[in-house]
Amino acid sequence: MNRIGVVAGREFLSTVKRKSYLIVTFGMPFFAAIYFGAVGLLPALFMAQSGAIKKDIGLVDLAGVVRLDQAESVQDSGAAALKEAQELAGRLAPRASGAAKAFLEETTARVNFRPFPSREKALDALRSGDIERFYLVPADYVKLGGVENYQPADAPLNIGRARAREALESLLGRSLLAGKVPDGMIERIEQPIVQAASESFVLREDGSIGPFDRTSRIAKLAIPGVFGILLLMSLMTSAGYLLQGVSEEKENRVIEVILSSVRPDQLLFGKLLGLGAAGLLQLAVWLSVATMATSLLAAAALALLDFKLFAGCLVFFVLGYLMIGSLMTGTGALGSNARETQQFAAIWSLMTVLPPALTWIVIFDQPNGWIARGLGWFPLTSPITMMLRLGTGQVALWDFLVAVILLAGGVYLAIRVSGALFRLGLLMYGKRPTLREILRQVRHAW
Amino acid sequence: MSVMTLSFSHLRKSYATTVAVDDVTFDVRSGEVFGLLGPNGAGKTTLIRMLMSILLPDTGEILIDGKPIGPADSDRIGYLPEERGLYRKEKVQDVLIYFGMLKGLDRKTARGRAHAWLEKVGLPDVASRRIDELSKGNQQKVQIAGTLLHEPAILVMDEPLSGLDPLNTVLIKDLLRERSQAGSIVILSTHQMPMVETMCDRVAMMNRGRLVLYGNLEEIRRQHGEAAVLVDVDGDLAGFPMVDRVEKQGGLSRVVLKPGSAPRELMDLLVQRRIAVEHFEVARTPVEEIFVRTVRAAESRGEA
Repeated sequence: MNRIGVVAGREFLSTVKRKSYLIVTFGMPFFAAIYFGAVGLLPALFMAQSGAIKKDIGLVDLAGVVRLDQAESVQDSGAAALKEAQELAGRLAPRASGAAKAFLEETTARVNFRPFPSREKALDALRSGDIERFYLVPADYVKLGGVENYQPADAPLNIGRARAREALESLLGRSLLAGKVPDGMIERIEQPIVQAASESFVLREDGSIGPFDRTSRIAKLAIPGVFGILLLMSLMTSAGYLLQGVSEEKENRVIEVILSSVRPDQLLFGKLLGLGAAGLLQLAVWLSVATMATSLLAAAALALLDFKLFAGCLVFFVLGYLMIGSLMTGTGALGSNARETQQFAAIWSLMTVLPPALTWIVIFDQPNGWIARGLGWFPLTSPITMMLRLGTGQVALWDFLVAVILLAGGVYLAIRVSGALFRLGLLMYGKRPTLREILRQVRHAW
Repeated sequence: MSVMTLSFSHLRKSYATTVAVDDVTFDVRSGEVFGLLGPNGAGKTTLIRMLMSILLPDTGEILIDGKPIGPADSDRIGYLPEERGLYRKEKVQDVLIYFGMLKGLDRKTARGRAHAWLEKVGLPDVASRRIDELSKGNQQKVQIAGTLLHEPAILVMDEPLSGLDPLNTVLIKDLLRERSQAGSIVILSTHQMPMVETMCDRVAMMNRGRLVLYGNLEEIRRQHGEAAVLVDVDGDLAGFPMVDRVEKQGGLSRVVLKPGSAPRELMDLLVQRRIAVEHFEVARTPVEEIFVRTVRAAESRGEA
């Protein structure tokens, strides 16, 4: 056990001190900030600009149905929507709210209709650039529902156009209803369910009724999600460092000295622990930088609310990392060059992710069905599947324990077998071992 | 000091197409420097890897004082592989401390030993330099220090002197002698015959996986060597009854005697015939010659 610690300590320190590690760890957030700044911000600016409606919209009503006094109330509900959107923006990203507010104000600004008595008058105004566009409501509108839209040939395809149309629809709807139904009813017809005024309740197992907790619902999805992504990322990063380190040791022949001192499975396990720690440190740096920049970690903070789920996922994260990591390395060491090695390693992550990814709907729907349970108990697919199953909150303790025990057994087997393959791979310089030799090594592993 | 015995007993190891080690049996005892000889591909490295538990024998076993060797014994073994390797970009002391800790030393002891052994190999001031800043010879000495750091009971060195200058050769030879006298088993695997002649008490010679010679070096010489003398004389000795043949060697003649004849008989005859003698030296058969002859003989037997 002690030797594992020695190997882990060395691998951690030597990885963390690597130039490439430092560049990736500390350079990545800068790169990401610049990248997302450019990719994310510029389109938002363009959209804000294209969304702006700067001039009046003309309206020629040949059907005689439009009541422009109703345009006021159209504006009212728009203002309410604006306020709600601004609040949401403020909650999500306090730092960004200034820019977001400006954006929202611009895009939800009042659409002003200017009436014209005839098509010709409206066309004159359009020609002279007084108005942006105009709509003509024909005499047979009530019967057919068609309207005519006039705009300059070079008018951009922007969201301003969609908003002008929405405003017209709303205005027409209200004009048709006005006077025929009570005033208060019009708003309900337009928006039958108001999200902000609605509430959900849950019937608990003990018979009591409680409020539906949206946060915990989010947590149930976010925690497995965060851990699943973390598992994949740490496998990718540390498997990369591990294979790189091993091929270096193989190349400079240090491996012979090391193998004369520790068992291959101890070496493998120590390397996994040390590199896993280095990988997690890297993620922690990234996440903390990301937090400062965008306060995205609010999601992770939410996740902490459900501690039981968090702890359950953590168990499967650690065991899953050891299981897949050791298989990746054991088989990776058999590769005679870097490309083969990467391919061997990639197979394992596919085998881990693909089955639950293809059946996630079934897993959520029937967390105790045979597919969910089978994938949850089979060590290779267990880590991701169990995270998803735990998220549903419907997995019994005994079921959880069976999965943990099976996965732990899988980890033990994987490390012993991979250790044997690792030894075999390390001593073969440039040639691939025969299947017989592989089987023999595996048989001798215990 | 009690004697420790390392026994290789009927070891056999085959790869897909070749038998690398074929029924090899011999003993090595503490206090001696043991030479493991043989041409390339003889199976020496495979044998050493089995001792290190890096490879597993197909059949047979390796015993220390009668007990089968296991991975737990690796702390008692120090191994200098033939193909040298160190972490090039790391500091000398970091690498040495790591090697020491892998052999079970704690960090403090490993650090102390690292400095002590660097001093012993004549590199007292390189501890905080990077490996790749050192010359090749000095890297080799660092690696030798790394092998000796945990003061192993069994020391296995594959070509320890290759690439060292004469001064450093003497230094390392003295270190190995010292370890041997301190009660360690010292096994040298080498092609360098001069080293075998000056260092080894006993040898095992392998060829194509088989043990072809084994025992005390002097005895092997006596059994397999030819009686020969180096002389500088006036006259031709080819017609002498005990002379088998005469070869030129430097400015001297190497007179190989017929089997059963002793150098003394030649000396007596020279005196008797009043031949002037400038130089008369009993020539020990070089191990290299015995080595080559034995390997050739074994191969011709194998082919027959």
